[in-house]
This record gives sequence, C-alpha cells and structure tokens, in this order.
Amino acid sequence: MHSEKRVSILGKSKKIVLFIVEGITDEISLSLILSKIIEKDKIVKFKIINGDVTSEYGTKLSNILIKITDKIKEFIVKDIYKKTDIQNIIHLVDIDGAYIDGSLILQKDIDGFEYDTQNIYAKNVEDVRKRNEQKSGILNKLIGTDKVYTDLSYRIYFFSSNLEHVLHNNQKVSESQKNEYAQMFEDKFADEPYRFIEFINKVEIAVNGDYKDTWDFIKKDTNSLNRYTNFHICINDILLVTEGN
Amino acid sequence: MKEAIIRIQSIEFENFKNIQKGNIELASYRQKSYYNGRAEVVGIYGQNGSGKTAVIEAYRLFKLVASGEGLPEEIGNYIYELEDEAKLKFVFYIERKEEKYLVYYEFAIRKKENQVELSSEKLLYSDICENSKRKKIVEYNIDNTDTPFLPKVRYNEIIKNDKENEFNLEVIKRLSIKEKTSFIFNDEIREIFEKSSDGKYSNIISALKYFANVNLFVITNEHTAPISLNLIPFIFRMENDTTVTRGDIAIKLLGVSNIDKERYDIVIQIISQLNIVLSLIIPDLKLEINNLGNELSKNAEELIKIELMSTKKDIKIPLKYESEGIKKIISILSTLIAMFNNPAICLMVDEIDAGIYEYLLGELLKIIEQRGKGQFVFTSHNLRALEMLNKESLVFSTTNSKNRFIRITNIQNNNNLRNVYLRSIDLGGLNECIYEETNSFEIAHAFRKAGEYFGKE
Repeated sequence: MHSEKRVSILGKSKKIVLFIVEGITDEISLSLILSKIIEKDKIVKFKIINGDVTSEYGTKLSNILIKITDKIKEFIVKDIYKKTDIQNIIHLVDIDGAYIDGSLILQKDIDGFEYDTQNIYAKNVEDVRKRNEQKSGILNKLIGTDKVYTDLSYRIYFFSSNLEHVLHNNQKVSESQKNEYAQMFEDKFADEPYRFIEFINKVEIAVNGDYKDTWDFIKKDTNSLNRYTNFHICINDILLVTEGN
Repeated sequence: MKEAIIRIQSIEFENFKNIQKGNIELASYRQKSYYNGRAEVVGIYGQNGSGKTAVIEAYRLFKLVASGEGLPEEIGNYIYELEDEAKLKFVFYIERKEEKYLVYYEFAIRKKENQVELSSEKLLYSDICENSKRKKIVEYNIDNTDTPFLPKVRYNEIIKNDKENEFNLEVIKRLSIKEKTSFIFNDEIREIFEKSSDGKYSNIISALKYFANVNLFVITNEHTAPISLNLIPFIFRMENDTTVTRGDIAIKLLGVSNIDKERYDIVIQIISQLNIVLSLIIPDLKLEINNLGNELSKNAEELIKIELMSTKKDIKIPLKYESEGIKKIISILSTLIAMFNNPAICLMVDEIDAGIYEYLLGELLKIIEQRGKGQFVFTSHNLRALEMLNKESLVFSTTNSKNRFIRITNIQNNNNLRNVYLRSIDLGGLNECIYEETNSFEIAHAFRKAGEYFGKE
C-alpha cells in the first residue's frame, strides 16, 4: 500500500543557457530556432535589456560587470530560478562600427547615426567618436571576461554591423521595420531550425578562427561596419555537442 | 453510526479515467497518525488533463456506490480508454467510541456488452496496531456463482444462523446486478450481518454508508455550473441533537422562486449562518431573502415566493449581479463552515479557485488548515496555496499515466514551494515529469501564424 513514490528534488534538471540581448526583435529572430536546436538537457532563455549596455550613458569599465550581473539577478528573481540553474551567459551585441578609425566618421545633416560599410555619419562627429571610444573600451573588457556574477561562464558574440545586417544582408533596417524582419527570419527557419546552423556558418559571414581570433579580426580596419559574425562559434561550441539532422 | 468519525486515508487508482496507475496517501496515513483531532487539507495541482478532477470524481463515485445508489449514466467514461475494467481502492479510518479501525474498501467497474457493471467489491479491516493483519469482511464478485460472496466461512456462518438467508442473499445479488448497485452497501446486507454475524461488521458497513451519504461532500463543476444558468445551489448540512439535514436546494438567481415552508425555513437558517462569515470574507456583503408572500400550488400546497438579494451598505441588488466568484463562495460556504467545525466531514471541491481572488483563497486555506477540524480536498490551478499550506498537504499530478501523483519533498524550509514547482515545470529535476513540455517561443510564433491564417492584412 505504501507504494506512493516519494520524489526528491535531487533529480537532474535542465540547465539554462541565458542570452542577453538588446531588444525583443533579437529574441523573435533567434529564440525559436535556438530553442529547437539546443540539446535536450538545456533550455534557452532570453534576458532583454532594452538597449545597448555597452554604449549607454553611464556605463564605465568600472561598472559594466556589475551592470551585467544585475541583469542576470533580475532574470533569476523574476523567473524563479537559482543561479546554479544557469550554465552559460551568452551576450549578443551589435558592433555598430565601434572599432573604425575616427577619420571614417563623417559629418552629415541627419538625425541620429547612419552606417554604410565604410563610414558612420552623424550631425555631430564628436558624439560618434565618444560613443565608439566607450563602446570599444567596454567590449574589449568584456571580450577578456570569462566569468560574471563571480562564477558564471560568460561569452560575448558580435553581429556586424548589426543583427539585421548579418541575418538579412541589410545594414539599414529602420527601427519600425525591425519587427517585420525578425518575424521573417523566425518563419524562415521555423520548420527546419537545423538549416540555421548552415546559415550562420556561411563563409561570407562567419569569421574564421577561435573566439579571440574572431574578435581580433572584427577590430581591424572597417570590419566592424561589414557583414560578419562569430555567433557560429557559440552555436557550434555551446549549444550543440551532437549534430542535428 | 452518527457518532463515528471517518477520515479518508488513501486512494489508489487502476485504469480510472486518465489514470492507469496512481495513488494518493494523506499525510496522516503516511505518518500512521490517522486522525489527530485537526483539519487535514489536500491540494491537488497539475497541468490540465493530468488527472486532478479524476480524484474528485473517484470519491463522487464512491459516494454513490456506498450510499447504495446505482452507477451514474456516464459511467462508461470512467474506465481508461484501452482497458475494460477500472478499480478504486480506498482506505478509511473509523473511530467510534473506543473502537478504532482502518477499513479497506475497493470496487471495480467493468465494460460488458455496451454496459458498465459494478463487477466486484471487497471490504476488509484491520485494528490499529503494529503488524495488525487485514481481515476480510466481504468479498463480492459478480462472476462468482458458487456462493453470493466470500469468505465462505462468513457465508456459512450466516446461512447457519438463518437458512432463509441463502435465498435472501441470492436475491440481493441479482438485484444489485440489475440495479447496478453495491452488494455490500445494500441495506439488507447490513441487517443480515447485524443479526447473523459479528456486530462489528455491520457497524463498519453502516458507518461507511453514513459517511458516504451524510458527511462526504463532493462538489464538482456540475454543482457549480448551474450558477451560470440562473440557479444557485445551496449545498448545506444542518445538524441538531437528533437529526442531520443535508442536500442542496436550488434557488433562482434572477426572479422569484417558489419553495415550500420546510425548505423556506432551511434557506432562512442557511442564510443567517452564511451571513456570519460572508460579510467578513467580502466586507459588508450580506445575503437577504425578499419574502414576496404566499401562493397555493396546483396541488394546494402552500408555497412561499422568495427572491435572493445581496446588500452592501444599504444598497440592495439581486444576487445575480454579483460576480461568479461571490456566487461560488456563497454556494459552498455552508458546507465549508460545516467541514471547518466538524471532524467527521470531508469536503471535496474541484477547481476551488475558479473566480476567487487569490489572496482571499490563500487566507481561507490557511485558516482551514490551521484551525479547522474536518478534511478538505481540492484541486486548483492557483499556486497561492503552495505558499500557504504545509508541503505535506500538497499532491502534484504528473504526465505519466502510470504514476499519476507525486509529492515534492526534501525542500529546504526557506524555499518557496511555489517557486520550486514553477522551476521544476521549466527545468525538470523531479523523478517524474510534471508538465508536458510547451515551448513559449513556439507558442508566440503560433499566435502570430494563427493571426495570419486568413491572409495577411
């Protein structure tokens, strides 16, 4: 009669791979694919931070790791997890030409910044220079960071010059078009998510080499304004151990 | 057996509805304390379609069978789709004066030629002490043609005492088969046992029957559905020194109901009782009856015309216009009060949370668990109870139809069970899966695709 199974909490639970992204369109573009291709003992979660933490006002070398840790804490509290549930933190950033030479920033009578594969344009060139100085400095620190929140594995991957540029080969998707583009991308791989692995490994966008090599590459010349990513390293090394069909 | 206290202890399922195998033991049974004078609460939680309601339905079926009523019409739906026979095994604790027993009752229902029959029953008991063996009182099987029931020694004893019983028992058996009623809980069986066998047996039978009939309340959605259909069922139980009155009286929510004097008096009493608690649960709310005078029915019976009103600070409105939640509380409140005060009462409610404000639900559950006396079993989707009740009071349904129920133990005291549960849904980590996996990203995608289904704008 005493056959009722007692269940302990000690069984093996899934580990979270937490993606830190700028906005909901990043999540729409990638979440469905990633949730389908990830190994069964892991689960994909997103923390949207609504903006670019590397370039936002007030981010300094001295506080960037605290800021990232706070975002992770927010995720843990809101979504009832424990810190130990998290296996990896994966930070996705748009590179936005952060590493180009200052001379390539040109004056143009426009609102905000404008990008092409050679130059960044803005009404006030100094604004872009300052932004690039802050952003590249912060990125350099994050590239060299492999643990955050004391002991969580951390990696940062770039989309150059931005996510839409890599996914759609369109550098100039406006804010209002982003949602539509994200949905298109979601649909494209919804039924065959493993095709995304091929896509992200395509020679014209996937930068060769290991993690450090790819970052060294993107820092050079105008590479940070051109269509490159090292996200394939994340897919190949962290999400997949066994190949899908 | 009005003075007996019966407490449910455990239930075991075989092929009942969507439960191939499952088993729930109450904390008191596991701890072998059985009954300690205090309330016992069991909250059953789980995904939709994972067998929560089946627990409540099982006791509803027990109530019918042990009350001596026939199987309900929809009984065919109670057997697991791929099987022919479903079995329910119950354990009860009975305390009556100095006598204390554990009683084991099981019955099976079986598909046969487009019909469903009550195919077997078994009643056993054991004394409350270590290593006490179970003793069989009656074993009945529809297929057994040798004697109407087993054990043979009991049958022989009864026949020896009164030769006519041989014939009587045969008649009772045939009648039970025809009417699809219990053999054991047939009134004449109890009488025969009372006269011709150990009085203990007939006491146990009548105690169980009384419990099923009078003290076990099973409130399924069928009971509360009428609320939306312009009727409010007052499920009640009233007791004085000599009698217990119980049942449900349906009163129209909108317009006028005609009820006889006897039921009018009951309704008046129920409403005065309800108002004691009601205005504290929902501040200032009181229930009132508008008496609109008398009327003679066709058969010259005197009827009283009444209308249900709710009042809040001198504002009177028909009860109909109160929220579904308030109407639900009102409809079960009388029984809830009875269970709170009487250790012999067991109340089972399916989907207790429907329409009830989360905070209020949590407070009510805590009050019942800490200060009540009866037994209270409920199903719910509202996870507030996980924060309010002892973890021993909670049972979780799984996605495994062969092991439908688990408990979550080994939780550190500073861990919030609600969070542990939600986390386990997402990340797993229990020995059984408690949630059929859903992918939120896929759901979000599907919502958009469904919107595009009839062509994009």
